[in-house]
Parts: sequence; C-alpha cells; structure tokens
Amino acid sequence: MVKNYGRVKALKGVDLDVNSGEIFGFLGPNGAGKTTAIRCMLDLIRPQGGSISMLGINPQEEPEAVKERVGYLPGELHVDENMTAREVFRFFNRLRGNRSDWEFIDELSERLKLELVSPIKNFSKGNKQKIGVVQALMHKPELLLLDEPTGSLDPLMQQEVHRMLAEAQNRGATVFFSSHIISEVQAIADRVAIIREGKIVEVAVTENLLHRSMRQVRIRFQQPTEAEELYKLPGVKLIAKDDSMGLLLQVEGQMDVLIKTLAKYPVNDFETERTSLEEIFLAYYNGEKDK
Amino acid sequence: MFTVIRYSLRSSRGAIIGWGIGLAALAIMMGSFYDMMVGSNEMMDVMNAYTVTMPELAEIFNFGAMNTPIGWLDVEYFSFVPLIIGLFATGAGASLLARDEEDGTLDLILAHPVSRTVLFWGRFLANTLVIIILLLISWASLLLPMTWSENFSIPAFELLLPFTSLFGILLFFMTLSLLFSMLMPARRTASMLAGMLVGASFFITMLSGVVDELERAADFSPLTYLETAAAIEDGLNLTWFGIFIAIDLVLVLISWQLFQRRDVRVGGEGSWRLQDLKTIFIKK
Repeated sequence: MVKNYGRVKALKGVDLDVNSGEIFGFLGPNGAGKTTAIRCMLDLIRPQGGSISMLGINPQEEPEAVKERVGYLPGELHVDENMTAREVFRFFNRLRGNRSDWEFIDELSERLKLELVSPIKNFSKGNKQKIGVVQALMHKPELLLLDEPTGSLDPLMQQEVHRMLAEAQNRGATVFFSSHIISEVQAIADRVAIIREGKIVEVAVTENLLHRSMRQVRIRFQQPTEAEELYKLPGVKLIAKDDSMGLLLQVEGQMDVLIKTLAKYPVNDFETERTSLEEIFLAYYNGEKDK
Repeated sequence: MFTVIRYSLRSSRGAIIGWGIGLAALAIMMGSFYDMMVGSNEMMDVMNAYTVTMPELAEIFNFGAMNTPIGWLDVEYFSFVPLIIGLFATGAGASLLARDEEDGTLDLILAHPVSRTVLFWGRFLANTLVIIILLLISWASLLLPMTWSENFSIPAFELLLPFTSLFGILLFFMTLSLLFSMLMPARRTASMLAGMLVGASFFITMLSGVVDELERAADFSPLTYLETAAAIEDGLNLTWFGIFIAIDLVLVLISWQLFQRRDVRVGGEGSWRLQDLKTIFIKK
C-alpha cells in the first residue's frame, strides 16, 4: 500500500500478510502509519497504490462485504455522547442487521464493568474505550482490526481485553492490532510487524524476534584484562567498559563464538540478559537495524 | 437506510423542538396581530402615509397591500422568515456529514456494513424531512390564529403553496451548503459561505425593486423566485418550482459523488485543502 496526504507520504509501501487465526501486532510510534494502514483496510481512505485483500475480498471493491465480517476499534473513539452505551450498541447492532446476541453484549460489558444506562458524556476516557472494545467484539467478527485497543484502560482492564482477544482467537477470529505499548504486543501477539515512517522494517514471529535478538552480556574478569578481541568478534559490540575488570557487551545472534573466545580469560562473573521487544523496537528507531 | 434516517432524525430532535417553537410562536404572533392592525385606523393611516412620503420604503415592504391577510403575511412574515429558515438550511446542509466527520463519529459508523450511498441518502432524506417538518409547523401555526381571528383567513391549501415554493429554495440552500461542505476544508467555512449567499440573496431581492443596478443581480438571486402572495392568489408557478428541484437534485448528486470518492477525515484533522473537483469525474 502507498498512501500520500498531499506531499506527506504516510505509507511508502506497506507489504503485509496476516495469517488466518493469528494475533498480529502492528508496532510503531505515533505517526508511523499504523492508523493510516488500518483505515485503508476499511476503505475509509483510499490508497494511491497497491492492493488490499481481506478475508479474500478487496475492500475497495466490496467494502460492505468486508465490514460485515470485521470488528473495528478506532484509535480514538467518538460516538454520540448524548446516547447511553446500550443505545450505541443498539444503533451499531441495527447497522449490522441485528446480528449480535444481547446476552454476549451484556457479558462483555459486565466483564469490563461498563455502565450501560448512563449518557456517555459522563464517561471517563477509559470507559469510552470499553464501549469501543465491546462494539468491536459484540458480533463475533472473523477479523478484528483494533487501533491501540487498550490505550486508555487500567492494567486490570487491559488484561481482561487481552483475555477477550485470546477468546476471539480461540473462536477462530484473526486479530490485527496496532499498538505502541510493546509489552502488550509481546504478551499477546503471535507475530509482529514493525512500521517505521510508512515502511515495514520487520515482520517476525514474536518469539523468534526475541530469540534471535540481541543480548546484553556483562563480564567481570578476575584481573585487569584488555580482551579487545571480544568486542571485535562479529555481532559483538562494546557498550561500556567498567575500569579494566569489567565489560558490557551487546551480542547479536549466536553466543557460541563469544563463549569460546572468552574461555581463554580468567572470568569471575558472567551475566547475560535477553533484550526485550522494547529494546529491539528502539534499536529500529535509533537506526541501528535499518533495512 | 431506515436506521440511518431514524438515528439522524433522533439527533435532530433538539433542532426540531427549538426551531419549531420559535417559528410557531412567530407565526401565531403575526397571525394574531392582523386583527389589531386592520382594526386600527391610526395604523392604516401611518401605512398610507408611508406610501406618499416614503414611496421607496413602502415599495420595498409593500405597505400598500397590508390591509389584506395575504398582503399582511407577505410583508410581515414571508419578507424575513425565508432568511431565518434559509440560515437553518445552510447549517443543516453543512452538518449533514461534515459535522460527524469533524467530530470523528463518521469513522466508526462507516466501519460498519453501511455503504456511503446509504449513509448519504439516509442523512439527506432525514434533513429534508426536518425542513419539511419545520415548514409544516410554520404553516399549521399560521392556521391556528385563523380559528379565533375575525379578519385573518386564508384557505389552508392555498396557504400551503408559499411554503411549497419556499421548500424548493430552502432545499437549494441546503444542497449548496452540502456541496460546499464536501469541497471546503471545514464545515464552518462551508456553512459561513452558504449563509453569506443566503444573506446576499435576501438583500439583493429586497432592494432590487428600488435600486435599478440590482435588477440584473436579482435574476440570479434564489429568493427572487420565492412565490408568496402570488402563489396564494394565482397558484404555484410549477416551472420555477421544478427548475429549483432539478438544480437541488444536481447539487445533491455532485455532493454524493464527492462523498463516494473522498477520504474520510479522522476527528481532529483540520487543515484540509480544497477537494479536487476532478475526483467527480475520474475514478481512483
């Protein structure tokens, strides 16, 4: 997909495949193009180039056929604030031809502790977000497109939403969600794509990305040691030198060569720590892993 | 479509009640004053004096015809009510879709299996219904004082004809404003521009009778073609009414095509450039 707003190139060629039944995390900071990509998928905006196929349908040619089977949560939820949550659900349910089961709507609302009969104008941002979550899930869609689904929710409610998404996946639904909350992506996404300035810079199974990712290695020698050859090894980078007795290294890829080289030195202590998705993400954004 | 119309009407409840009460009060007041006016010799003398001492002013406001119910309504009611309801129509047209777009609610509605066509025409029909309801309230409120008035009497069907003529013109203002809202960067800009055209049309039409230079401009002023007393006395000029309905239809069809092809703005986005007119003709 290519999408420009005048001279601003919002999407410079986003190429993604999402497998049926997976939870797919779409990671990127504000302004990277996450929302633009999702809005293209729903035919709310039209890309200048490329093509989209969702559930085997081109949303530009048959938008209603796609939206029939999709649940969408926008990044910022705006609804008629004079309505109550129940009235909003009733309205959206009617737009869908009364397909939703009210028992399920009540169950979702109860789990999120959502007040159904008060006007929305009295709601906090978090409670409005709950309305968005329920309306996206209430018709048990085959595909969920969620733009930062837990942004305004407290940690308990975030976990509840994660459980709901896992349940949706168990029912066979595909979940595509954007987020800049990395722990959330790490916790629930089967695969993750990282978008940077309108381009996908990485698509990987979340677990693989973490495993093949960088580690930090802290070495404490028994005596002052130079050991320059250690940080000249391929994939190894010196981060800090602690007097002449300690080293902090960043290792990308296999540890084998480093450990074998290190065996020549008298080592007092050796600690290794795998980097989180957050550090990988930051590495992309600091330009260290530009592709 | 029915759901869209129903919820659009629901969100217009406040406007219908507020404007309805105001227009009803105005109509009842004007209808009730007629007896007072024709019963007062002093008032009739003042009106006659105007036609002698200030003929231009008397011509603008048609004071000479005020001693008949039709002339009274023409002067005291239909001379300015089209301006008031015209401004309402421009606001309604500009808000038809652009308000929801600017508020961000359109995004979520269009993410449901409702086509842009259904949403557009559902909203348009609902807003047209709101204008019809307001006109019917005004019409019924003018009939009300006839039940107790000794002199103020016009047959109900004949009184409906000026409102029919006004409907065609109000629809023109609404569809013009709707078109502006599809082209302009913001709803307020569209509403303001259309409102200015309503105001200009009002003053050009009103003053064209006494300012010769405005006569040609008045030919292009929609309110010039509003039939009030003439519609009651001679029947509605269906040609002009038909022309206005045809223009309204063209404007709404262009707006519909623009809405079909444009990107939906995200709530909070303000700085949009004029939509490219070629999008009407060139499919992306």
